[in-house]
Amino acid sequence: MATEKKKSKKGFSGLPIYDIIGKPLIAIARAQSMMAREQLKMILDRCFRFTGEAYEPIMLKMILTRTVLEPAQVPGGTPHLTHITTSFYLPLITIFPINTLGIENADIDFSVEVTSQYSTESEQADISDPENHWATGTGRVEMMGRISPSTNRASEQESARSHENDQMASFHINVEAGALPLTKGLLQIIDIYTNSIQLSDPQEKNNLHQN
Amino acid sequence: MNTEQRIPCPVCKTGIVFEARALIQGHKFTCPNCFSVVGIATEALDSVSETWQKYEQLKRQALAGKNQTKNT
Repeated sequence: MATEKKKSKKGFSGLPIYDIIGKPLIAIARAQSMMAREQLKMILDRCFRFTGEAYEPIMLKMILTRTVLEPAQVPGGTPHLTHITTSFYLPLITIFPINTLGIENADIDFSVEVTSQYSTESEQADISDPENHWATGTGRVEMMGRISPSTNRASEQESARSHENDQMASFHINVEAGALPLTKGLLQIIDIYTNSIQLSDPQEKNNLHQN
Repeated sequence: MNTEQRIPCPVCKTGIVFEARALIQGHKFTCPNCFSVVGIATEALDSVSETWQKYEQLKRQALAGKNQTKNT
């Protein structure tokens, strides 16, 4: 089994570069995860009712009004229009545009100053040819760095001086929340609910089928 | 992305295009095929309006993450 040992090391300050790049991405992924959890909680709390065994959809009472032409009551009379109002129930989840929450785009802007670097290698590595050594991937270079005090090059020197002592640095994260497609599973559930909509008044249903 | 919402007409199954916010405010929508008119029952408007506000609040929280500058 290959073991790693340090070949050289210059100084010790800053974080590994991959950590600096990765942390904001991890933070964004976590934010997305938190939003998804909040969304799921909202859906379950507001659109479903827990019965102790399962979540049942909360149904919303809807009113349907249609106009029908009724024949004349007496022979020779004129037919007239009648408004018929009936109700049906719709799962609340089917009317919410719940596919509008999510991080659509994230733009991270920062500069990294390389503060030190060192390399590690495997015991099995061929160290006679340094060029080949790195190309075959038997060794590894670690770069340490820190976020530059400012990404504005015009004021970089001045900013660097002012931040030299306090170790402050900043990076800019621009997160845009936007519309994301729903998962197939949730779409399927909504489809099932939507397709099972029917009038709640059996008498009215019979009348409609006869028409 | 197409965000148009539809519910099938209970009478003829044709898709009725609706706008959720308007529906919750009490507007009614008409089936393009059989001209049936659908809307939320008056007694259900309050509860659905409350749910909608919760949803909007969640959306605002999500949008509040926009243009953040983080210090390290």
